[in-house]
Amino acid sequence: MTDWSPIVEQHGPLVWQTVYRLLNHEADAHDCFQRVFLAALQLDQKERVRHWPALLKKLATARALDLLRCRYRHQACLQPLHEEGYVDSRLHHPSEHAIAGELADELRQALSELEPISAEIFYLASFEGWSYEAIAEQWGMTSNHVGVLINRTRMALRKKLHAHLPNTTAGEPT
Amino acid sequence: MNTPNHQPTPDRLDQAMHALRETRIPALPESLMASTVEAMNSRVNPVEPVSTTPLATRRRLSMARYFRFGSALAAMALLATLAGLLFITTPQASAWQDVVEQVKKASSVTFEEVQTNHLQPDFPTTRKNYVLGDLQRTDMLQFNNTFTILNQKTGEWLVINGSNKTYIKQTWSKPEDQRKMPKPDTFLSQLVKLSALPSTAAGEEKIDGVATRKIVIQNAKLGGYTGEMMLWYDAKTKLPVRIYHEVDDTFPKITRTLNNFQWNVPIDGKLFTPEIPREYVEDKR
Repeated sequence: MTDWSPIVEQHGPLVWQTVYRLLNHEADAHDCFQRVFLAALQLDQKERVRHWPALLKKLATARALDLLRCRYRHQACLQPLHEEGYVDSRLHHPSEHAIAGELADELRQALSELEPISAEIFYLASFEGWSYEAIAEQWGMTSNHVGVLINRTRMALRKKLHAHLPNTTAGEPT
Repeated sequence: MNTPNHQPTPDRLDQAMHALRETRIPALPESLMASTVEAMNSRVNPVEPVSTTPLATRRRLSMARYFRFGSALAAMALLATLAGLLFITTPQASAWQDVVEQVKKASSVTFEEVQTNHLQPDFPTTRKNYVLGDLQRTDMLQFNNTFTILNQKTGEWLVINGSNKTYIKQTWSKPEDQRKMPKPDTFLSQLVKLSALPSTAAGEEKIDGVATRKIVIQNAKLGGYTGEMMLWYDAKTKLPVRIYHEVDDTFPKITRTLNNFQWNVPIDGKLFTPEIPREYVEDKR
């Protein structure tokens, strides 16, 4: 039987980092963290897990994105807490601080609006540094396919983010 | 023209990715790690009485989950609880027994169920239940075409999962099946024991304009969950109007509210004899 204590202790920080970054909400991150490990437990009961960090990262990304989708689908449910330490502490200027927070939130929302698989793959490649080969192996596709998918996801995200921009053309000096 | 005018506009996606990447993340709380390990251990070593029959297959585990979470059984538990009291007569008729008496006369009921857990109170699970005689259908409202149908009399159970496009059929006709998993009525008879529990009156309330009386039963076990059950019944008809069950033996803790009861209403029998779509495959695991 798997001894979970060292697994949670060793890989918990990895999971926490992923879920917190995506959710940016203390209570949601707590919930998601536990869901990830409970899902891992279920998988472990079915088959032997070969690589815990990869499995947990994948589960963490998927579960956090699930929660994000719920959040944005039901706006009234949970609003992220814009509390201290929300954005990079290196951005000291209040307006920069606010802009960065807003941008991060826009990206979270945009990710939640994508097809789950696209969002997961994009996140793992762009934020967790997964190689195309590793992703291809996990999802049973070719590296080329992964590349195409990520490229399309980038374009979709860019489009969504630009859609959030205020209309700055009118009245702008030419 | 100044220098900023010559700088290329930074890509908004890159900026957003940078912002997300730089989100400051607090340290992982040690208490969270501890509670997670605890939750996992409790799943691996459940506190519930363990059957001597080994639980090996996933199917049985799935069925166990259905048992625990299926509101069909919860609803039947409710009815069994109410019906159970009919078999135990006491010299003094209580309000609870008056309710049971009316439930006994009911031919059908529909109600809605909302289940929440304390970790995610804003993401409830909702179900719609239809009870007609020995038949019980529960629709999982969050999932497309996903429901369970239970025939208490025959012990047949059908689970349609529209998300996976699968279905499960289970019958408790053979003794070996019953050894693997208790027959639903066994589960119900367990809940009938609730009738021995005392109920206390807890005042009067108006619910949707209806004058109701409230009673409370402690340590009520419904659907495998134990906790405090509050029941509001119509002061005139004596039929339940709302039930609130606060469970204290699970992690996360859950609460269930059974609401919008419609008693003795016509229910289309076809609801209990659905046609399984051709593309659905049987889950035999």
